Amino acid sequence: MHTIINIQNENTTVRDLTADEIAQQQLDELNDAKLRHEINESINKRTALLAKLGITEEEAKLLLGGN
Amino acid sequence: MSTGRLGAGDTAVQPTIFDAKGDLLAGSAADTVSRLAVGSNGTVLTADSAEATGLKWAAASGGASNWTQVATSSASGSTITFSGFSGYNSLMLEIDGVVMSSGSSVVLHFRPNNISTSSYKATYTYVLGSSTFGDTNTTSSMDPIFYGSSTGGRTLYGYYVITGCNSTGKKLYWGQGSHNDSSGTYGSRANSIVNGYLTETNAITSFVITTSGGFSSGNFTLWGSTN
Repeated sequence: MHTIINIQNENTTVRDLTADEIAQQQLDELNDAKLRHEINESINKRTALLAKLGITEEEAKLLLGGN
Repeated sequence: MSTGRLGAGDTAVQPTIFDAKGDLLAGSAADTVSRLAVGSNGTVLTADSAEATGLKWAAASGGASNWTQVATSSASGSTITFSGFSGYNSLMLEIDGVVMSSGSSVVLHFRPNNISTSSYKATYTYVLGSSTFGDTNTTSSMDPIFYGSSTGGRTLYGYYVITGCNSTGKKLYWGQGSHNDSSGTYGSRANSIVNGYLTETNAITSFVITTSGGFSSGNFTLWGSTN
């Protein structure tokens, strides 16, 4: 559902999504999944590297000068 | 003090030129007098050569201006639009305890003037659980998003600010949202930070908040400032 609050005339409308809005949400899902995949890849690479080095995330931060 | 009238044929300003309290006299050309009607409360007199009198009443710029509530809405359905507002150069969206439906991407999108893509240049940082991910959107293809929660009681709080809304140029935005959904889609204590600018020649007169899977609970409040 789509709630539209018009501040100028103080009207609130609640209606079903239009075909364009549904298509936009499907596109959003694809883009969100793409970014999520990118984030997961980055996290997995880091996890794999830490495992290879045999150190924890906290130890890696200490080595890099982080707190 | 009383005001005397001159003869109709005399070259003089008649007091009948004034129609209301606050009206002013202004020159509209050489040797020509016009009435400038008083402006709205809070506006200031500004030079503008495009106007007949060379003057207009306009919203004050600079100085302090309080944030005023533009609108508020409970988080329900999948899309909320605040529309039909004007005169705010800065807008702030307050995200108050929002929970999104499970089984979806649980991502919150912000769209001034309902602009979805191709106009944003952003940097973003996401801290998901113990992992941090950051990048720069160099292709301008992504609108700003916050990662949310689909677990009641582990709710999303945050703010999103956009300035330059009355300008014909770029609008600068920034925001941060966080939740502590330890059993959620994105691990515990997800933190989303976005900064960037939106290229949009029109003033911002509407604001869309959307998530593909829908909202479960919470509230959104839009605040505005003339500065």
